[in-house]
Amino acid sequence: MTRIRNLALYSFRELMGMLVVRITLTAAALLPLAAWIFSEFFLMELTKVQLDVMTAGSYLLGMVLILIAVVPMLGADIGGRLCYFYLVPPVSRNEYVLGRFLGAALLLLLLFAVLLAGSETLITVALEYAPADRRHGIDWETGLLIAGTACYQSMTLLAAVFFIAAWATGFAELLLFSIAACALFWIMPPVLEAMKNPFLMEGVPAWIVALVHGIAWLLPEMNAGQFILAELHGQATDYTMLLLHFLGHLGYVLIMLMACLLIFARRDL
Amino acid sequence: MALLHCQGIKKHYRHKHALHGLDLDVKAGEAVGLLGINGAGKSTTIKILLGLVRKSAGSVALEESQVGFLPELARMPEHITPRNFVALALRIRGKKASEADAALAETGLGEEHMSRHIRLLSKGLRQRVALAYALAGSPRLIVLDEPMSGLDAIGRIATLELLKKRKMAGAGILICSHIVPDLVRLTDKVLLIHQGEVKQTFSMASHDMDEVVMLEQALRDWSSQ
Repeated sequence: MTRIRNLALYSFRELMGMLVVRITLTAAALLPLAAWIFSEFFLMELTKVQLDVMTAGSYLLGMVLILIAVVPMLGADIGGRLCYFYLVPPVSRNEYVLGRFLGAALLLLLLFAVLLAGSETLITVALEYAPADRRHGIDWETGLLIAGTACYQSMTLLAAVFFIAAWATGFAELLLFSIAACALFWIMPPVLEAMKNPFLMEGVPAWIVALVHGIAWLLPEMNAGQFILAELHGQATDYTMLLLHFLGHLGYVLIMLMACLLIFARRDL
Repeated sequence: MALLHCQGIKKHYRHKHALHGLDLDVKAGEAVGLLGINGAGKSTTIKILLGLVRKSAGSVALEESQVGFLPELARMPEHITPRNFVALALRIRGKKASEADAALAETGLGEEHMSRHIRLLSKGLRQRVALAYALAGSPRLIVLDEPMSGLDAIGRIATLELLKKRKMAGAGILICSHIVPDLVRLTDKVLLIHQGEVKQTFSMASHDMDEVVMLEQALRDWSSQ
């Protein structure tokens, strides 16, 4: 455990040493301001619009941080053989993977702490100054929902990137498949959901129906925005569905990490 | 006491046999050199000993739980300072991170370079950082793959002296190098590897030019076959 902790703190420090990470964190801190300016610029000084921008920005920054910071770090470890430094006895391959993952997860937690602070600032201002008809269903929980959902969805993506790193041969391959994973995770589930419609599936061979359902099961649902959207429209949050959504992502992270550990333990470096 | 003992190591890739049953021992207070032309199997041997590459057959017994390793032509982590990088090695080996400065100074890295990002250092200075990482915390088994790469003449001499000191203190050293005089100066025996096999073992007794000439001749003879 001590070695995992040491590697995690080292990885966090290494990531924080990257200029792109500091720029991303600054962007996260300035996001509420950007949301404010955006809504003012279009004469839509609606709090809902500001929080929509916060939500989209949070999801985007989580993905960007993984692609521009974690992927190069793992790419250098695998392709540049940097992992040779970390993987000699007494450090095991499992300790290395978990240490690196936790270091990157710490960075994501920092990002979402910044985003949470930004969202809550926006909400505080909105509740203080916005007219009652523009407050919609917004309260302090909305900020937690924005940062929290963005956080666990990004953790899922992070775990997928680690799974890819377990078998990728270098940076280029890791980046390519990570971008592909991002695209698949965001685009495919709604398409597959639509395809599962019984009306559409009528007349389609059974094996294709099974394939569509199977692929839909393989991909995580990156659609937590629906909970925020409901809240912004004054609807009550369905906490049971939210919990199930979170558990689905937690399960996905665990499966990806387990697969990563199993593959990484057996590969030549 | 053998810190590292391996027997009959074989490595087959899909279309290539890289190692054909290699035996190797490194005892405490002993330095063993690996010599061979490019592609002979030296680096593969080291990677198998450290578990970085899976062996196809044979056995490896590492009696020492802590190993200091300097990889060949290593890229370095760029966004961290030498101090923090070496501190990780120390923490992993159960030592205090505060010893990092001393470990870096031992390899000749100046105080002014310790808190700059590694990406800002020259190739030679990076090599010193990598060496400090391998030697930090005084591991009992030290494995070095081309440790003199990128070092200037003074750096090479200082590194040799440092490694001799570690050997005298009881550390076992396995070193792979193309620089024959360095191997002669430091090691007690040199294994000449060719096409994945140990072809000859040389004991280094006098550590003089005669042994350099003898090794270079043997290397030429095997490489021409």
